[in-house]
Amino acid sequence: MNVFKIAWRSIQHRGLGSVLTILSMALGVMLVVAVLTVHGVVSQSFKSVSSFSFDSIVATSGSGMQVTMNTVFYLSSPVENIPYEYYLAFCDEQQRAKQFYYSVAMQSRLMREQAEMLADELIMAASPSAGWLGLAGQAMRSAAHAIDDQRIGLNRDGKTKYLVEMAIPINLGDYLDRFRVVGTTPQFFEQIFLDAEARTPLPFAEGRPFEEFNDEHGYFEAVLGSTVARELGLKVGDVINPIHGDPNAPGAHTHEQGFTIVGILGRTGLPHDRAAFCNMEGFFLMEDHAADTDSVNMIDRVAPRVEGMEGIAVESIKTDLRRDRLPIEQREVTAILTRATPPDEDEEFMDVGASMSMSAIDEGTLKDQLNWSDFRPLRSKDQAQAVSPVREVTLLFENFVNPLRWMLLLLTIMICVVSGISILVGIYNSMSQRKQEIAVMRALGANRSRVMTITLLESVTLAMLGGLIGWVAGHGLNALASPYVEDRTGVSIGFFDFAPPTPVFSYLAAAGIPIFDADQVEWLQISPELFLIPGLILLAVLVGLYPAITAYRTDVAESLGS
Amino acid sequence: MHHLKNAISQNAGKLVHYWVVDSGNTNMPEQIPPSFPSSDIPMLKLEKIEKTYRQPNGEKLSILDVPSYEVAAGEQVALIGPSGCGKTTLLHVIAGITKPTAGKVTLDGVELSKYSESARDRIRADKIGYVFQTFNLLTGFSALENVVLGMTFARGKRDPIRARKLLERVGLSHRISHHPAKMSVGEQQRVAVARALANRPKLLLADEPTANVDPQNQQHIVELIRKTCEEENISLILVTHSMEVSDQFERIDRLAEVNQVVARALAKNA
Repeated sequence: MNVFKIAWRSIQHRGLGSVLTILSMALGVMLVVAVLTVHGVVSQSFKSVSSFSFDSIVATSGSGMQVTMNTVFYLSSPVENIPYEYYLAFCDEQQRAKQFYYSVAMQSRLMREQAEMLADELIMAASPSAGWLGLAGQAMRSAAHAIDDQRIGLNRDGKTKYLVEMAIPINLGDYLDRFRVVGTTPQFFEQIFLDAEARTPLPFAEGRPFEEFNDEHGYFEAVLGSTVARELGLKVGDVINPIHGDPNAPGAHTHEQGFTIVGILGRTGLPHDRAAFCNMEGFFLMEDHAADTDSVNMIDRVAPRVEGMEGIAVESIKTDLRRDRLPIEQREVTAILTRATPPDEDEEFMDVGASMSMSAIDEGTLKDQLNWSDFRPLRSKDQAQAVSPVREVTLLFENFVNPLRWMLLLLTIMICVVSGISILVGIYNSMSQRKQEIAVMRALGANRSRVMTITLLESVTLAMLGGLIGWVAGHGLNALASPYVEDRTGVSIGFFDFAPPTPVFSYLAAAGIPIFDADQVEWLQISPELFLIPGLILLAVLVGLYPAITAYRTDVAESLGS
Repeated sequence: MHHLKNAISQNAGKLVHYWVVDSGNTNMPEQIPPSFPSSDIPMLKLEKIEKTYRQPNGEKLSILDVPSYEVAAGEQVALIGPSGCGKTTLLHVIAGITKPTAGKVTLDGVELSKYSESARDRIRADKIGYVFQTFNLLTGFSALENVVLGMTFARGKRDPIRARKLLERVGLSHRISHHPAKMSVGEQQRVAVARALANRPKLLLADEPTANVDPQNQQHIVELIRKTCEEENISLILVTHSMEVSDQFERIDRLAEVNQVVARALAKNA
């Protein structure tokens, strides 16, 4: 019979007391495992979007955090919209021409030009000399337009186009059940990636991305995230009717205009799983989505610019035009997701390209209204900002998530310590009975170290058993909660999934405990759960020490007599 | 002194070897010397043993004063005396559980008092079996486990087969897996006897083993202890205050004669 068996027999002998001690420890460890996993899930959920397909978000000025929560995580209360001109500033010449075509001013100009051409033809037909005069007049008008173009720079890329390789507008504010509706362009599915580094596109479980215009559905096509489709039981071909505004707020109403689901995304583990994507053109056309033209005074601002556009540019895009869209004078966007133009390879500051670009957008273009040459926003509250989602997420972590995690961890560690103390109390309370047993063992030839080891082993066994049961229970709890967590965060947790690894050595180095050179062991990331085992043993030894020392000091002659 | 003569006569004409310990060395040796052949020396030899305790008022209280005492190998001794005459303390001193204030305890040629507590524990585990008045079985262990526990702390191998045989010998083959709480008092004491014999000790110390047992079992247990010691050539010191028990022994030592503290007290009272 070895010391382990003797310790185990002692645990068995104390029956209910041992069970309660083990359960108390198990509860503590279960909570630690749950907290570590929850934190891991939150971290993973945030980190998965930290490798964003975009590096800055242009949106209304104010809380950058709220902008990020809205546009990246589709959470929080909606933010104000910004004028459509901001989006135009990121468009290239071709896109801008196309956009401008859908302006009240352009339609007026086209109508006027057609009328003028008709008038010219009539004059030519009436008098050849007058025809020459007409041609001369047209030449003069073209020359004037060229001068005008040069002056206001209309037939060119947007002011901030050179800074970005991608700019995708999104519109928020509508809901589908409890999920956000995101109005955007088809480019969203080309430029927003599942894995930004590998440029893996978002997977489609069914169907296809929506088109800018579809012969069957027009502008009214939608794509659903996997969670939305599953939870609402929707499939390709179904029609959804978004709710205008927060469904729980007064005044919310369901749009009459429906969108046909043409695709369902595969599970991405990203917030996209919880969003319903609608074609932005359709989104604009829904009731109450047109901006109040009087208040933004867009017509007055767009009209002079449209007058300056080259007719040829307009002609070249005419083939793309279908039916009525919302004129740009009445448009607004919630945010523009932009990805900075990658710097040249030989450029010295490659790694800071994105932040430089964002800074340029933010400081040089958006805030410095004097240089805003396309359409200067008239209302100061329209002033926009460029938000770095990575920075906001980092701030969120530093300010909210990390302190919360530490608080939770502290609480659970305290629960473990209390459980440890219960082991101490359990063993210590049995010491009077145990003293006689120890004395008997000593009389049978066990030396002091042996009885001390037996007592310590008992403590360690209780702690380890509690730890094991707690670990299994914690992971069982995770596995049970997995479907719920997966639906909410997109992160799935299996029974055997450990809490995500932590760069422990980097933390230690940061805390001034340089066990290794943190840079050299950056790859060495250990799941914090693995620290539970040595932690529990340490705790058990600490709490078992006092009874063990008591056992060590037991007076055999006296205890045998008792 | 009847017992002393007896011991001397058994060793008469034989060369007695002693393991010489440097008296100037105050460090307690941990290394236990090999045993000498039991036939050459007394199994137990006490010389000028004294045990005193300091009382709360600072005065010394003398418990033991044994000028000389010997037990030969295989010899069976009944040590009798009234309660409170230092019987248990004497057994603790012999077993190395309690260190004497002065004097030498030599067990199987090994002088216990020169050794550290840890070494004495080991010597006790190897050479001494102990039967307690209150049995002192571990309640969380079965009968078999209690017997095996007796082997656990000794140098020899743990031998469950011997443990079973010992339990069979004490008539408990049907109670091997039972826990002490489910056994009668007599059965518990028989388990304690089997445990004390588990390590094939050289000396068995039995501290009033029948005090808590009914008369029918008393006889059985004493016979059991004596017969087993005889079969395995184990020296036996059985402390008792029962004449019925002591009368079964050829050698009966009165503690009043062995322990001078008691002798002096009796003389003073007389």
